[in-house]
Amino acid sequence: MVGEHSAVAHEQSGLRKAVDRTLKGLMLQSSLGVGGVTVIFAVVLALFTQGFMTSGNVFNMSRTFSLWIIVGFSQMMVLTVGQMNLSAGAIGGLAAVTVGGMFQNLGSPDWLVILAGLGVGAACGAFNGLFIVLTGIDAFIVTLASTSIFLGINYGWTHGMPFSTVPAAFQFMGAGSVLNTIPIMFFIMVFVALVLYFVFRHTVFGRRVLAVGGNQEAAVLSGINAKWMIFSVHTLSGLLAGLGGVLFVSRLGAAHPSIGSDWLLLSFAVPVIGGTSLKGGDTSILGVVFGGVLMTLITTGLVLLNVDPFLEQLFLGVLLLLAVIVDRARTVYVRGRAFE
Amino acid sequence: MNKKKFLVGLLAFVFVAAGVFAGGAGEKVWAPGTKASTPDKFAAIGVIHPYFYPMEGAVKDYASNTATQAIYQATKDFDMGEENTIIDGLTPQGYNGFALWPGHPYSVNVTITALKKAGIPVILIAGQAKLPTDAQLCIATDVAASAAEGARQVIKAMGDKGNFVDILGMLSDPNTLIRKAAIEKVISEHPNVKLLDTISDTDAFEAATSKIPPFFAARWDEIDGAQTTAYVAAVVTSQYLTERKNDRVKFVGIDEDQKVLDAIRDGYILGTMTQSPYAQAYLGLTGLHLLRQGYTVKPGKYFIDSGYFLLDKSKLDSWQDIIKANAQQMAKIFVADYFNPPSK
Repeated sequence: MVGEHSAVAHEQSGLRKAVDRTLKGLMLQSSLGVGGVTVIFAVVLALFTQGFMTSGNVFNMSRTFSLWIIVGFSQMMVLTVGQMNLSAGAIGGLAAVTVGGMFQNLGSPDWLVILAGLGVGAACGAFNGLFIVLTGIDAFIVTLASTSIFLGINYGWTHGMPFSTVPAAFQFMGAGSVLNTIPIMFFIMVFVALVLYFVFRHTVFGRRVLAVGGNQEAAVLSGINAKWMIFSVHTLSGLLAGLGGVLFVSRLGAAHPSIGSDWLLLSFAVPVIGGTSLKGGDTSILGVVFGGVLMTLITTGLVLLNVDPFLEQLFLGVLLLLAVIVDRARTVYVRGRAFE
Repeated sequence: MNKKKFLVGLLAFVFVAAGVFAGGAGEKVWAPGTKASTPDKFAAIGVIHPYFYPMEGAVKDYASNTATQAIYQATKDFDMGEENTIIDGLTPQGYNGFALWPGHPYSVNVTITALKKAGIPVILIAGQAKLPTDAQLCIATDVAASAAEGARQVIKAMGDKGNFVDILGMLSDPNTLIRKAAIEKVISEHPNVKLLDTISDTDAFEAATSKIPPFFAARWDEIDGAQTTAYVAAVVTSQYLTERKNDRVKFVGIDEDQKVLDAIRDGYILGTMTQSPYAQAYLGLTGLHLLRQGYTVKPGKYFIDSGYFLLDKSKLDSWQDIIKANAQQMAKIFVADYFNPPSK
């Protein structure tokens, strides 16, 4: 009898330890911290605002956060090697007017226009990457300068006027949905997220990028071509910014030169809130997704909560700080427990 | 210090100083009421934004029609600092008249006063400065009257009852606050109309798309009418109401983006309030020329309303002609109504 009790007690203790370990492991995931805050905020909005859970509102918010997440991915690529891309918005804007110009002036088919928009984005990113690796100048300075270059090309061409001839079929990406609730853009975002997850988790390229971000010197000594990694992530960052521009045109049904003008803060906030380190070497695809959703919930939520418009920025800043403090507290608590 | 370097530096300073003084010397500074001794060389300054786009054409037309040197410059953002940078770059090149968009209603007066002291007249276009100002004239939309008219049209279409949503541009733009006050005043005059909400800072696409469609979607059944006085918000709201195939909510926008015009044509929105940037720029340059010829602004005259009207479905094919006709009418009465001829 005593033996049986001991065996049962031992099994229960082992089970408890396993659950405890799993929970700790999960809690150590930065993305789940942000995810938790996101869920809490969504619940608060659902309880205290009218119409939050309507299919129309879910659809519109999904479109917004899908775009913001892609913009966040663009910055995330560069953050993983410990660098920055200040020109993400300018690249998005240039890709957008390229799309608009090709439709309006050339009557090009959709597939060619999409390729051109992505190509322009990738080319701009490659320009950044090449300049950085060839000159050794900090990415902050290079992309600060290239922001003006890309904006200059944009405004020099358009003089600030939008291209309004965008075919209805192209607008399907931005306006279409499944079951009238899940936007097509959501599926595009999920596809991009899955590809990036696969790249960083299961490819040599992804591992090498993280290694360069973690410790570039050690990575080079290990035989990794750091310059190629840096060039590649900047190119990919540009490609994703270009995708953002293309999707924005589809969403708006017109190519406005000012697309991307508000992307700078957004492109940093989404991945950083989601747990991507500014120092490089670490990222979380799921974290970026949650970061984008949270930013959308906060921005939309403040409108739905009827917050005084003059105090909106104050509330936005406070809520963002709260979100990261909660996540930081979680990290400190769990790491503290890990040493017990 | 190295003696050679010191001498080179001193010589360089002397040359630069001489150039600065020589450039300024000999040219009589223009004063109001006097005829300028140098040819006109004007600049109109706007913002890289679709609203200001017609001004570039207006400047080219003015330069061509009058054989005057005139250029159009634009800031990237709605920013007085950027505008000052452009002005600081143009004045040493001899530009002697500016038709300016006021980057900031208070700060612009510092710039205008400095230009006046340098003998350079300024006419404000597309916006107002805080009074008192040394600007000779202001040619702009009466934004309060335009916003109020738009609100009245929406409320009329709503049947004088229901919930109204006010969608504003950037709160940092003084025109926004003027429009907000005007709309709220109109609503207060209709006891059966309630201001459901005010959505602000929507004059950028990212902010507009994250605020306007979700709000409309969440509270659709409560909204009877809406108005925006911001270009981007007008585009985004028109797009949303078109997607929704709206046949109930009465909406008036601003300016004439193609998306807005298409939504009017398809019946999804009521209309849009027009403005007249072309006339503002053209008449602004005309006014500068008159001032430099010795004309003076009549006492009590300062603000010239460049006009607005509700562009609805009935005016879709004629709105550009209406704007042109209004501008031509303004040009006819411009000199007689606002200027005294030079004293002999």
